[in-house]
Amino acid sequence: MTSAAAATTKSIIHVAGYSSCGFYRRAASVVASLSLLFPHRLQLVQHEFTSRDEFREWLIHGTNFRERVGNTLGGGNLRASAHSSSPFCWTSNTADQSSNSADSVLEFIGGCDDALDWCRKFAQPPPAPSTSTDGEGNIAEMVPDGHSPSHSYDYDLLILGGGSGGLAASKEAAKLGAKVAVLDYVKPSPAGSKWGLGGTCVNVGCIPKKLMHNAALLNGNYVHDQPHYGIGVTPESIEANYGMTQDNTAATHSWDMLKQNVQNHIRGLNFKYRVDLREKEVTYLNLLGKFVDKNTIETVDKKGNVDTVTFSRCMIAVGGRPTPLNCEGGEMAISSDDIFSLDRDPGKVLCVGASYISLECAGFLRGIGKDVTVAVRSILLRGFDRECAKLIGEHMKDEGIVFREEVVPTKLEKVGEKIKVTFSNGESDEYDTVLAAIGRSGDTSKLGLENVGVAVNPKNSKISAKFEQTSVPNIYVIGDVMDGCPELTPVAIHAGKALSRRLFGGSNQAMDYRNICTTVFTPLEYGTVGYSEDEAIAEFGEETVTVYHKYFIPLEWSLSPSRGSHQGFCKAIVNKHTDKVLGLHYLGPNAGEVMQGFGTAMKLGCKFEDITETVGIHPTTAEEFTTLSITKESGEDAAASGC
Amino acid sequence: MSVSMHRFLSSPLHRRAAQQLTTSNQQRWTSVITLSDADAVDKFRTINSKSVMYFTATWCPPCKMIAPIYTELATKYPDVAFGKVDVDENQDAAVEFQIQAVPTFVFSKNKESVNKFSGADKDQLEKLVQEL
Repeated sequence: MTSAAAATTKSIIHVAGYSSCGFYRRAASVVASLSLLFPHRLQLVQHEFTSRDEFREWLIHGTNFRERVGNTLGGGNLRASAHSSSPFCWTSNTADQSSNSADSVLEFIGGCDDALDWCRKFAQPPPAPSTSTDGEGNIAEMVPDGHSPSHSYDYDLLILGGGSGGLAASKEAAKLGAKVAVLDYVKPSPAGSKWGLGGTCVNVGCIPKKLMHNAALLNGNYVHDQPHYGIGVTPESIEANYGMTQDNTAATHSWDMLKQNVQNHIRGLNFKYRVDLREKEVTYLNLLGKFVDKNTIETVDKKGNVDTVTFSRCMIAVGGRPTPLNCEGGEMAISSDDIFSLDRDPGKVLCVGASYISLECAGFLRGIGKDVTVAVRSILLRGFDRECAKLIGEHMKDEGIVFREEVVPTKLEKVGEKIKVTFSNGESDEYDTVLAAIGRSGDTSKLGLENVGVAVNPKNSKISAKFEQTSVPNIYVIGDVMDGCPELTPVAIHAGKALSRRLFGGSNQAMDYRNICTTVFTPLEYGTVGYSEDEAIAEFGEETVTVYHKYFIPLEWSLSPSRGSHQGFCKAIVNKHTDKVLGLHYLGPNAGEVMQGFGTAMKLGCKFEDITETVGIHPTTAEEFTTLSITKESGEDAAASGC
Repeated sequence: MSVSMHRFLSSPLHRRAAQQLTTSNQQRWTSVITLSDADAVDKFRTINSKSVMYFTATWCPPCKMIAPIYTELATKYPDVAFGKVDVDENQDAAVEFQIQAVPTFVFSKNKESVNKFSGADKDQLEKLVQEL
């Protein structure tokens, strides 16, 4: 059936049947109702016979209308010429009641159900234009990859890497009927750390990081807030402090207990992932893979046994690993692969690098009472908003984190139990732990990509791709290992699912990598979506960009005297001419929770007015966005007013 | 003698069982047997007409709670064999018995699973042991 619904010219629909037939009456009345609603688009012509016999005489025996309709439509339209029941429905270019004219038939519709389907399509609104506000389509145009359902390979889809992206993609493809296997094998870190199924996020990233960040928050609450809310306060302590409350002195903290509970949680997740794959009928292979050719992977198990697996399509989802510290003694440094399972208290720590990973680690280590130094080569949080990065750095200094600026370590050496670090400015200090977080590289060096000709960016070992398709059409790439992909778990999950739907579900939807909201879990949390102020000015020009900003004191800090020196901050980067919001930035408690909903607003192309017209939730910190009114160019003071 | 019978009779586990049988006729099993691979699970269920397997993990807090109770039950019910499977060490067995949570207990009679439940429920555990 062709799509009559899309036609804008008037459709003339003929419904023939006998008067006592319920199906005939139902089809005719639905079409009649629609033609009343859309008189310029639809007209009903009824051919009502008094009895079933009379109807059949017209349709089949005497005039054999169905046969003639079949012939008119060409190729002896079998559906029409075999139709024997009431009603018989068709469209035509004439409203002529003459029941015997079959020459003007345009399309045979069918019986009652077909007529109702036709009406449903007719009444459906035309597809909405893409919500993409830049006018870009989000259709993925991929190169044919030669996949045929009747291939003779072991699997329809083989996924290298059981991290967030690989697992999500595998389950989606299996749901769509594909035969899928996931290869996951964790090569130990240089310091010897190993982990289970689930990838970076679950084992050595987001999950342990957020838990340890929470340890720091709880500790902060204990020290700075609890006494001022009366928790743990006794009449004696009030008397001793002349009726005032004081901050608690830091409580003891057991690194071992924190680490063990975090690791137990992770091992539970590893188990859940294995169960999940089994339930979704994805084959999990705890093997290390290497390409032999574009349809074959050579596998090695823990014991060194070699085998091969073949596949029609492959998705590379191996993620990345920390870039090792490249200086004398650099091998003494651990990385984020090791810190969350460290079997001793980290003690005095040097974090090398000013990436979000370095700052987050420095933040939670300080928050649980460690002596922490950060070595910064140039700037904090490259790629993020400069103003926010600066405020985060100031806050971290206030928390007691030492920053060594414009230095890199040039030498690490063992001095007793400690590591002596010499910096590029000639200074040196001793630490119990040196944690390098100077960047991450694609984990591709041992994949045998040279055997299949998949193109790799030599700078970061990541794989170039268009719509997640590599230079070899049946080999795809998702997540951190794809060049240019934001290194974020939900991005990998989204891209992986979208790709599986395109490969096995007939979808053509591309992954939308724009306006992705994220949060940095530094002691002062930072939530962000869209352009930074600097990027927006670089792209749209200073005359186009306006910035609304505001400092605020979260209510939950207001009883705690030692929180007084800190402020939260939010700003909106707006296109002055269109009022469109280009970016939102937030520094304060619960930044992730605050930013998530604004991510949806940004995806819908929200304007600044939409935010200020939104009624706030009081008292929250998220509502600060709805009350933004001071622009930077006005020069007015955006600081929170004191009491 | 079938091939599988032969295999289990010559297995170390069976020899151990046989030793226990000869040294102490009254008490067949008084301790929990760790089943570290799929083969061990198979033999364990073959040679014991009444058995219970405790699927556990080192990272599971409720398992820590139920473990001593399970060991006690092993002493209290000597005619039932008590086995223990770590779902991380013995992943094949976890797959075979479709373990979705820990702790999970699988009760077998003559190699046929007759009951299964998840959770550190002491009373339910003892009740199902008695029902064997």
